[in-house]
Amino acid sequence: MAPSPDVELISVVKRYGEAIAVRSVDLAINAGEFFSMLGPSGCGKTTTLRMIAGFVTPSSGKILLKGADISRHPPEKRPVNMVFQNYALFPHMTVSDNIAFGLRSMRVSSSEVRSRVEEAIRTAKLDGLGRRRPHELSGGQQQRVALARALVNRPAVLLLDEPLGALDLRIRRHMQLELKRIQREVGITFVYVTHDQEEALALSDRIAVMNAGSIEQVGAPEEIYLRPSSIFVARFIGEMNTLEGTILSATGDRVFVRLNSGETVTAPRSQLPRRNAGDMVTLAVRPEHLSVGTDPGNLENHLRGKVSGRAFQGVANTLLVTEPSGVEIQIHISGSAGASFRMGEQVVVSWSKSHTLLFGADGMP
Amino acid sequence: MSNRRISRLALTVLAVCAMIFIYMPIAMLVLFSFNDSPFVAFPMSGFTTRWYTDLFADRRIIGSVWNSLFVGGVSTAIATVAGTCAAFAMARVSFRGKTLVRIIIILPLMIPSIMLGLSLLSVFVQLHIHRSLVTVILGYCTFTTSFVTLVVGASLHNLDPSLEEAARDLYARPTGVFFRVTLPLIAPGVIAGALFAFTLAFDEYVIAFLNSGTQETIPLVIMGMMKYGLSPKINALAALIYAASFLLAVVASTVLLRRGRLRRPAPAA
Repeated sequence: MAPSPDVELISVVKRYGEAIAVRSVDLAINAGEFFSMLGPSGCGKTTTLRMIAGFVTPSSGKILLKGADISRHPPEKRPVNMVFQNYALFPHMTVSDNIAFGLRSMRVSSSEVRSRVEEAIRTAKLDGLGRRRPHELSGGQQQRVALARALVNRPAVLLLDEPLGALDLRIRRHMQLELKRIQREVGITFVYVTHDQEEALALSDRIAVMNAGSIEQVGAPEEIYLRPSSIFVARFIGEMNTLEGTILSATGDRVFVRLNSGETVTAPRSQLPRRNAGDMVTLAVRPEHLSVGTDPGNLENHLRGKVSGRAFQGVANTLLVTEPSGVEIQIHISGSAGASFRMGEQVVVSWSKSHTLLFGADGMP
Repeated sequence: MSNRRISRLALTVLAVCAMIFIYMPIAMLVLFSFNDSPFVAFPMSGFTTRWYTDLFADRRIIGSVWNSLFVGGVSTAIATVAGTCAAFAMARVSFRGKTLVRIIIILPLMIPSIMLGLSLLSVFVQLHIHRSLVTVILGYCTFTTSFVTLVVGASLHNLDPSLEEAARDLYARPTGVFFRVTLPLIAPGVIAGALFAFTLAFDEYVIAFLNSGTQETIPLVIMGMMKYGLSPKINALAALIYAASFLLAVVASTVLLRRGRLRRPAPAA
């Protein structure tokens, strides 16, 4: 059974005068899902989130929450809560009063406010901090107050606007795991905005990659990583090597491409259904899908180059190889295998045709 | 001694001299309010609280104190509410001619009070409005409102807009957002604006002189009495006003400092 969508955006557009912040976004976010909107700054992800929260009114289109049109409802009438980028904790209130704010707005009885706030403080591991003011807390603690303040209201959907952006790396990693655990426990739909692709890949059930006000691709992290639907997504998510070339032939189930370096490589025809011989293409392949050695081995695609750099990083080590046309290719090698290559050594870089991604000149397959 | 130390010493001496210059007259005045002589001159002749007793027995002076408190209080109340509203409109609403309105708000602070007083007088005369404390209050509201608008406007400008968004996100209606979040956070600005307004109104002379009709505020009484020379009673009155101002300043700065500390962003983790 397909899960019913919790939040639906139908042809949502936001214009500011001449400028278009969001151009016709369609989205269906499922109940209980950890859904991320990922993209560079200015891609429209925060505007989209703020439209769901009610701070921004769409220029056209509809926003549905559990099937009901909330496009024109003010923020206070929407059963959603937001965790702000800078937390937006009320500086003149204690932690407890911050957490109780939403319940008091809804005129929940004071005994229930007390018990729910106490429970929220326990869940958020803020025991003993209830009477502190926000400025007396560490960044991580403030973050947990912001989360507790939103979740205590049991919203239908929790909106998070780069909630970990202000934390340093170590606390950030810890809070990522914490967020994922909380989301599993409460079972509330999370809509998460971030520009950090690693964070989105690690946390999300599904990701919408946005660029210039449009959604480029929606899918599970593995899907977006392994089968990016555009050159933008391919480059934005993870590390990616790209090489330019021209289609030699596109017949049967294979496409043959002549790279600018002169080598001919191949990819499945399904990669590039709408292109013909002579079209310019961009070939993309992930660093971990490349092998390096002194002979091509049994992989279909290969090119020659000189070792031009090495970086030891522990688990995955990076080897840089410069191919004849001057493009530097990144290769991830596990373990200590990289140490056997000398700088300037002639090597063969090879990869499977199934790991070869091709995009046309417009960035699309 | 190094140049640096010399210049430091010079600056300290200068600062102390400046403080003496500012506070010496006040100290003298307080001193003479206890001097057992009708003449405000050295040498002092002994300690007395007579001038204070005389002061409280003087109906004209005590009446003017009440008048001044009334004029200051009412005009401050009006200016604080009107100025806060105006500051909100300027900070939150975009409308045509906003720049012009901003200039109009600042203008009363630039106009010399004699001009303002005379224009008010001619308006009241033209409209056949009987001159009394009410006309003085109206006159004061013209410029004290501008003051409050500017001071509250600065507080609003420094207020993080996401705090109000967070309040709405947590189901507070616009009035709830104002009274639970916005007002408590801009309160230091509103209090500072109100104190300014009261201080300006309390010792204003020119507008009151031209527009108060037969009623008198403290500055009018003092200037009136000056015709017959410095009275130690006035010293006593001034000493009491200084004491009240000092108390008010201490309370205000404690409140403002405490609030200010709360509003500072939290230290990073």
